[in-house]
Amino acid sequence: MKKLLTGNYAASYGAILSRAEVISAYPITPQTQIVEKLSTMVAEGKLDAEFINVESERSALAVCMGASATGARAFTATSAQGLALMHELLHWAAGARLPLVLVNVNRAMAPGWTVWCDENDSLSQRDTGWIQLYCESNQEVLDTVIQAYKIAEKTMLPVMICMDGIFLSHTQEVVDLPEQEKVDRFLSPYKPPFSLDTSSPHALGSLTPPHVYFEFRYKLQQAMDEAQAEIEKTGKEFGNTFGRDYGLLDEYLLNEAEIIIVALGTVCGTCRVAIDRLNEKGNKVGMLRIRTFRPLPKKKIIESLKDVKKVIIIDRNISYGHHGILHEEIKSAFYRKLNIPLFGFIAGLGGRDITPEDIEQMVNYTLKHEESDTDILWWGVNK
Amino acid sequence: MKIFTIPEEENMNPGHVACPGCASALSMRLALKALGRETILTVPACCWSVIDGPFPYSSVKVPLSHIAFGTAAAFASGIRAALEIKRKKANVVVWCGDGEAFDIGFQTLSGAAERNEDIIFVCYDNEGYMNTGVQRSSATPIKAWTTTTPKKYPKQELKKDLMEIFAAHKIPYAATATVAFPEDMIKKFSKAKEIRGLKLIHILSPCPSGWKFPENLTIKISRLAVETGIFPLYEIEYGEKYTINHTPKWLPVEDYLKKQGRFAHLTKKDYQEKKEYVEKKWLELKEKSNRLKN
Amino acid sequence: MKFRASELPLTPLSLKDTISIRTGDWKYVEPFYEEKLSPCISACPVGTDVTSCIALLAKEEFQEAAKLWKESNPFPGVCGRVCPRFCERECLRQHLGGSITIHLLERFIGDLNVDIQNKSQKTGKKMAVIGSGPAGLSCAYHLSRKGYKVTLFEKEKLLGGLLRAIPSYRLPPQIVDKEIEGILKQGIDIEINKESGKDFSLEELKQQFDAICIATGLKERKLNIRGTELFNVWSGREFLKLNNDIQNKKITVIGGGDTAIDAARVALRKGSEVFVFYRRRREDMPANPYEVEEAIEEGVNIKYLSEPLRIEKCSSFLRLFLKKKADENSEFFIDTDGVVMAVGEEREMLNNEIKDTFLCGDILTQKGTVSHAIGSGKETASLIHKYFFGEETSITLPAVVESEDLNLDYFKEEYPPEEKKRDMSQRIKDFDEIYQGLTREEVIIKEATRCFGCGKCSGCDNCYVFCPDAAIFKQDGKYIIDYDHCKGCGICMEECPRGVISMRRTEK
Repeated sequence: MKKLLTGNYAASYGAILSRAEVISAYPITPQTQIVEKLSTMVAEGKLDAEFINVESERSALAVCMGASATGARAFTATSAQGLALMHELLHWAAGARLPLVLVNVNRAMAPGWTVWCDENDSLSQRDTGWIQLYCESNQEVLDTVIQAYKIAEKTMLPVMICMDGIFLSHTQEVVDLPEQEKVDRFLSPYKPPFSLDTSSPHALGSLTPPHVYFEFRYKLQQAMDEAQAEIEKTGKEFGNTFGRDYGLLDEYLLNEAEIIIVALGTVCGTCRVAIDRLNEKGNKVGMLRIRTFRPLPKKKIIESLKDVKKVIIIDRNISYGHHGILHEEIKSAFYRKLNIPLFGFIAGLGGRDITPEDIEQMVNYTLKHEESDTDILWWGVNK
Repeated sequence: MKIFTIPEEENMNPGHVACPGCASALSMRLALKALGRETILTVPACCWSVIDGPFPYSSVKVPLSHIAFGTAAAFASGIRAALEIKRKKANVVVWCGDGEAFDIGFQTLSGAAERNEDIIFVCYDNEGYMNTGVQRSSATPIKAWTTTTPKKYPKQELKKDLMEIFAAHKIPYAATATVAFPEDMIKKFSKAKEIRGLKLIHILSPCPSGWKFPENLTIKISRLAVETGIFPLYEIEYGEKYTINHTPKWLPVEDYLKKQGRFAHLTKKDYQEKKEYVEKKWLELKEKSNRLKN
Repeated sequence: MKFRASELPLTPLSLKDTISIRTGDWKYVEPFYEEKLSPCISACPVGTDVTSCIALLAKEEFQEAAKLWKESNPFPGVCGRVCPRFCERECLRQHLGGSITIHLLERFIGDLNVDIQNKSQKTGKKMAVIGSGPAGLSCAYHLSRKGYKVTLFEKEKLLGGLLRAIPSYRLPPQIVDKEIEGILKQGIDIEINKESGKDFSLEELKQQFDAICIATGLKERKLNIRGTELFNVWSGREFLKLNNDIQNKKITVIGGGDTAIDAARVALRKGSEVFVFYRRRREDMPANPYEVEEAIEEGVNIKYLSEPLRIEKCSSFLRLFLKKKADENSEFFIDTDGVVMAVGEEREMLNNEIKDTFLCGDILTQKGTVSHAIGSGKETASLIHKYFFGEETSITLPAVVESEDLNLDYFKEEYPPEEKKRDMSQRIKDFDEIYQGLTREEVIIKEATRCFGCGKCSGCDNCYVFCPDAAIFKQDGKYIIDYDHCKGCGICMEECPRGVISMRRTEK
């Protein structure tokens, strides 16, 4: 069934179709509609779940963790400040290997107050042990929520699904709503490998002295490594069932491209338009969308970029004192594998528009330069 | 001839790593006797994060989840929600120190209380951050020494009145308890088990190392806290019905204070002030207990 | 401990119990159960297990209590009435309402007249006991209960020795009769009207018996003054044995011991006006203070710091000359119809070189109380048994409970019962018993319940209830300490109401 849905509603339907059992969230613009939609669905009996209206994002995640540790499929959603408030628990949820799914509606961090988009909020959580998947469309948001549970429950790692605030959250797109029976066939009920169960008492998260803490962290990294295959496999299975394939990365016109734009989120949609225009004029430009940011599919990235002349990275984020976060990630992936000039643009912070023209000009700049003039190419800032 | 009769069922194993003479360990032992095995514990950062035992050990015979500081009531709410959706029954219990209940988890607890979550929230109150080496909390009594309220400038503020705050939340049940009155404690846990909604049990948990008294005096100190009127034993139902469970012998407050190194610097004036404060609080309590008698 | 990542769960998931964590290794002191002597038992000359007997009374097991009491002391009826109550002076209850009235409980036990059977195995040894006072009777009783064939020799025709000299308002003779009867039931032969050195010699006895025990007591001390040979001048014992009426006479007693006070009160009851002269101060009097008090109450005139000088015969009366102590120029006199000299007792010179001869009672200890005599009889019986069989190994006595060992938080302030006492105006008219004892069982139970039971585990469960380490458990009605996990905090020791748990250094 096709529906006109905002990204927020797409996320909500994702949770509903995945039969989330315990939902807890705290409202924050631009995520609010997710809370509203799900609480209404539960209240109306359309979703057999417990919805807990908590007093903070920290508690929202804690509720989901308690539920997940007790064997329930749990869902939460947040944004920016809320995600930052959850920060400690993000570490905890991953360390406790709770297969949660969290939708983060990307929003820039205050101050000053803003509700508009950039990705600093979620990218600065990259070291917490969560799988991070970035979406480009509302359909992808819905599909990814469903896939996320499968990935999380297989790898026992929590999954954060990121969508750009306003650009997706508040923009309606046509979304194909899968049938519940099909989803049920794709995603079987959660069977926890361990849970808080009085018939088999145990303690969860006990004190771990140096002689054992290290090994648990090794296992977490192992799980992350293995997650790549799982994400890929799940994306393919999803394609087989619903006709929409997903992979670790999303390639656009990579073959024969001389310049490739690497980016994540909605800017990729803009890139597609700009690339089409550029290529019509005889350029050879392609795009590599980083759908899976954590685990970072380094081999795949190298494979995709090995034959190009230049790589543009558009970061709607910044690691202060360094440069764009994605820029840094690509650079580190290249280390001793590829020696291709990187053009790292910082653009669109705090929701400033990035237009196809902006992209075209970035490409033009890249064409004209052998190397980037500066470490950061600030795009559109009024210096 | 038995003085106290407690259930024989033992749901806590020896070998836990509490300090010798720890009242919170004894409280757990007594509480689990009343609660039984159909219980799930949530333990935020507190002494019990350590006491339960390092990986791969646990001293309690019920499932227990450690959780981050300040999130216990929410985590427990999640457990309850999962049990509800799975149509399962168990006592969902938060077991935390005063750091969680009075300070860092105060908001979370208030949220859970407002939602009237079906959990038993137990604060074993050792009146300070003991696990980190005795720092003041908002549960530390006025004039007490801690490592952050040194003798030259002991704590200047009154202890936060947790019971009154949660009485104001109109939770169905709130009770004080302490280890020197084991039957009273067990009775309160058994009662809490039968009530739906948020139950707060505030346990005064004397701490030999933090309060500076010999390990063998834990029960004595606990008893003196009650018999001097400093820590009255009472229950509040729905924020309205107050029941006093034990009338103190009104032993001099000095009997309690002088036994603890953390009060060693107190003067006669301090004792007098403490006495007056205790009497004032008692009169308030008494007045409330007379307000709604059935 | 080494963990391989491949063998670990996903997250720190603790499935093992903590029993293998030996927290017991932390401690440097540890508790142990050590029943102690209660101060009452420690003070009792007989060493009766007072606290156990009282515990039985509290449980309403009166017969059992009486049997246990008689295991050590066959004279509860007597001692309940005349013992100076060394136990009660030490009783730790005195700080919380007043000492347990042990004498009343003992008297109650005695008046139950419970017989205990002699189930001993015969040793084949024959014993002669000379003297049937409390020491001789006690020795005979305990020997008999150890399987000896005992023959008791008494110079008088009635058994009991000095028990017979105690006035009946303190100790009715039928109480003595009953308890002696109980002793004889153990299987003791008696030879009355047989005086050693007159009717038989020790050497003769030695031929017939394996050993001899001499319990002939002390003889009365004589005052070395003029006039003691005069008519109507008696020794204390002579006076107490008199049957004649001395109505409306004036009797003067010299001395300050129990015998002096007994003589004075007997004379009073016979209608005399009575004066007592004692050479020291009132607080120095060896007599029971409460008896002195009662004597004064009844109208006996006691003069202190007065020393007798001589007695002179004057027509129909006697004139006793005295002086104030330490004042040579203070001579004075009193005219009187009779003088009783109750100035104490002394030991006779004895030839105890004879082999297999033992002593017991006052002749050995010179303590002068019935209870000490009974205790000495018991002790000598043990000594004799050890002499023959070497069985009774000496056990190191446990420590005595002190006030700090108790936890008084577990006891309320409670008061002893009132004992009925005959009114003064009535009691001086006859020789009936002054004190009525306790007869109502509920009063006995209540009073017994008031006993702390110092040093004896009552099974109160406190050690088990309060152990923060779950390191004390119960097995077959006993408490067992799990030393692998006990951290030595000492809460059990502190919270034991009765001082049964002690702490010791660990062996590390």
